[in-house]
Amino acid sequence: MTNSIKNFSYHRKNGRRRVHPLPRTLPNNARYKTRKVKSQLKQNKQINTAALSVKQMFYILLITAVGLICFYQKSIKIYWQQTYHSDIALSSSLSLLPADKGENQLSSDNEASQGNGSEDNYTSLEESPKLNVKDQTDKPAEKSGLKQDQLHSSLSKEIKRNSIDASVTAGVQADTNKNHDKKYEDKNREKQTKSQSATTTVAEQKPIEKNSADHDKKTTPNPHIEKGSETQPVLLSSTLATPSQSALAAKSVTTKSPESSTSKQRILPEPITLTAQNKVFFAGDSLMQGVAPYVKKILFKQYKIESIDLSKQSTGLSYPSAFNWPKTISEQLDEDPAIHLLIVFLGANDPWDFPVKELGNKYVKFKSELWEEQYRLRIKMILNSAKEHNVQVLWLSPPCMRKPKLNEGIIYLNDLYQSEIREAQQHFLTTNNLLGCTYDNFSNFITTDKEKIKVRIDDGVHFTPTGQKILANAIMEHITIKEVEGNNSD
Amino acid sequence: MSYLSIEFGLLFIAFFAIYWCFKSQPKWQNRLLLVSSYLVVCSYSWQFALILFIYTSAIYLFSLLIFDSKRYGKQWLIISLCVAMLNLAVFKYFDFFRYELQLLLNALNLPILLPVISLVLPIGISFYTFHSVSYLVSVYKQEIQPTKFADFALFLSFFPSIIAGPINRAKTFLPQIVIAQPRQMLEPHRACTLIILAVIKVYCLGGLLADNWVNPIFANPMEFGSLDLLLGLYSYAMLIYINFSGYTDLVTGIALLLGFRLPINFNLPYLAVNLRDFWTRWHISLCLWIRDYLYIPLGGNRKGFTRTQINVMLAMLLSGLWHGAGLNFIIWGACHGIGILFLNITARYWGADRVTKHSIWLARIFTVHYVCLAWLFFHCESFTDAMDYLMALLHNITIHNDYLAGMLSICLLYFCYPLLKNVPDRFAQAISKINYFYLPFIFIFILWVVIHFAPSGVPNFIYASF
Repeated sequence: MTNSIKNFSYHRKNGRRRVHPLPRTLPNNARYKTRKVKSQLKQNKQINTAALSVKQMFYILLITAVGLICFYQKSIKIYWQQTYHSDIALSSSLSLLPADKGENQLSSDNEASQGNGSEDNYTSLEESPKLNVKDQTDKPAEKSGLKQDQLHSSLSKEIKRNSIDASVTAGVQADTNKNHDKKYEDKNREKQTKSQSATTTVAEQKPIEKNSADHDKKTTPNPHIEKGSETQPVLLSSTLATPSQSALAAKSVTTKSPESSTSKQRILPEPITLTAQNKVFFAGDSLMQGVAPYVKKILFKQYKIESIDLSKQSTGLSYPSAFNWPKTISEQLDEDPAIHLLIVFLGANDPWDFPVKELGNKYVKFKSELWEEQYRLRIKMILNSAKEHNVQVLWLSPPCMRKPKLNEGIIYLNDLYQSEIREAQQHFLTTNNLLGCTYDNFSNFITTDKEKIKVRIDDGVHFTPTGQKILANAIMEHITIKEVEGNNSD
Repeated sequence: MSYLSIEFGLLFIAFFAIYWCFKSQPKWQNRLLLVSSYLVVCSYSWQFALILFIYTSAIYLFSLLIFDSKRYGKQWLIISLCVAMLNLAVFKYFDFFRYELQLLLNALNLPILLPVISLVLPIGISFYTFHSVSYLVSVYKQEIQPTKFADFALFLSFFPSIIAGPINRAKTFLPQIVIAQPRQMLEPHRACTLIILAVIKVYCLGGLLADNWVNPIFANPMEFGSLDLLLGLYSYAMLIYINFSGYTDLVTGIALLLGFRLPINFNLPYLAVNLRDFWTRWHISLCLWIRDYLYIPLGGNRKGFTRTQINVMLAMLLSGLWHGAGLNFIIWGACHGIGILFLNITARYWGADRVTKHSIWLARIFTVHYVCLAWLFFHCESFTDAMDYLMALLHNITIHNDYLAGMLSICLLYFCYPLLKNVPDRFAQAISKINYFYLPFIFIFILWVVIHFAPSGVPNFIYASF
């Protein structure tokens, strides 16, 4: 070997150790000396340090691991939930509560969250099982007997009622804040009744309904809701709501107008218009993390419009304990009144079972009625926050996925999003056609006559930069930028 | 499976216990390692494991042919190297070259639509291909004899170094596998230090840098002032170093606990005085591999000054291309190549190390700034993005800077950097003096603090995608 190579690899050669006497003081600042001394230090360390036996090392590793797991139980539980969509062995034994305890816990949760009117809440809960004896549904998640079913059905009714009430009160609040005339109020109420009917009609039409019995049961809740609405509404999903929203819902005493005839005409949403003073808010998961920077650049480069990107990987609406989008969006909209457009891109991390706190953290099966109701509520909360702040929403549909199970879940979520967005009269942007695929036929590429453009990376989920740019351009096409002088420009 | 996840941590502890039950039988330890390495690859995809197995078998066959053939050894070597490189090229670069070729055909108005093969990049292929090349060349040069198939399979699939690990050399690593005497756990205190350091670097520091500086600034460079953009460059340079060196520390520590010694990969790269020095401190195992199997076979510096520069440029371009199938990586490699060329030319005509002799710190600052600018091309996928960033850097002098405090702290950290180099060694020495019984509690405390300050989410290893 040549000298230069020998010198170069002298201190890095594996397996050959030479011991030199260690100098008493460490010289500073001289590059070559320090390197020599450092390697000498290492060599001496090997001789002087007391060797740990394997058993001792195993003890160290095990105790360290156990200690960290104890300290970070909660984080590990959330991580496990998100990754494996089920309860970790540790926590399931703690959260598995018997049926009667579950009900008590439910009521105590409500008392804690409500503050005022807790008696009414308790009364309404007690009343609802009587009303819902006929309305028992057998959900796969609920394995125990009658009480659980009652709990479930009462819960599902409350959630439906709350979602409607919340959106109504949000609409009312928006009216008083923004000084709209009465026409808007009436329109709102009509929308809510339509949304209720739309929910039921969409639910009935969905191919996911397996039993005709389920179909019948879906129509029966409506008369019960009318009866129940005279009492104080119970916001069971208060963990998801921000304090402002829960306060709104708790304080309001609303009388629900009976369901009117369903209108099949779809009112088109108002076009998205921005000025240079407006801001855009991006919310979503890792797919949005890829697309948002491109839109941000175009908005700033061409129109000097600022934007906020809070998108975060592995997030969705299914696991609020890991990341709570309704709350985050609401807080951000409260904080920044300049936001005029909210662009949402979620879904890819959602099509799995998730725990429902009101049921003692039991997991509800994906696509079950309760799952759907919970999920729709979360979508509604985002849309209501936006409406409250007079913010327009552009919701991107989750695209086709390579993995069949994920793809099926996405198709279902897409229907949910589409129905909710249409009810709220906001903008829904389908992405499959932009990416050259359909839900039935996944492809990494857009195929044209001239070329095949790769838009999805190898994992069959995320986009290539080209794909991200295509989506960014499509988003920009939906936005009209108004210059201050009043001239429109796209 | 990420090596910085709870699942891997718990599985490793169990594996550690079982592994050292066979302390007196290294052969059984090897078998256990082989099975678990293939299981790690399977955790990404069973097809990757199959590809690895087929590749291992093919290369092993070639090595036997090289060894047995007296007359055609060189030809077999060339064929086997071509097979190895072709395997890597097809999986890694087919789509890139197809796309570029298609653009060219479109530009020339030729109505040819090249076939699209959707190939997923098998995990670790870049690394085990290079391991196999070192094995084939060592067999040809008769530095080692062909080992048993199981040992060779373990050499290629050794789980600490398959994902993004240091590039092992057959002649130093195979003797550690084919060991006759029982293995010993090596430098356990240093191993613990390295693992803790890895958690601090990747989980805490890397996560904080990415969330707070790198991602916001790179998302929309035009919004930020020049100093902020400079901070973005510095923090990306720090991030990539922390991420990669943290990963290397982790796998080095794991390998030490299993009785293996991996080559070192980093030696305080941002204290380099020039680009040549930088490449003796950054990704050292790759640099040595390129020098030994690319630069020297091309002629090295023995065929005249001009040919040397061509060899350097080629080596740098291929090093860039190895990192990924993208023009931006080639540009990054070209930046480094041009830098070294400039260095060689100025050394030839005006004397070597002139700046270094004048002031070490000045040389370091020049070098680190050049390296940070080159990292811009590494990060930005498209050339226009990189140019946007540079334009913003030059023009946004009047825009208000949000991250001045960050800028100051990074500058301070850089000047304190030389003081930090002995910290891990001193820590390892310190804990070696403490009774083993109390060590877990110290580690729990340190890791609890680190994880507390770290942002949420499991970080990914940037180099695992290469």
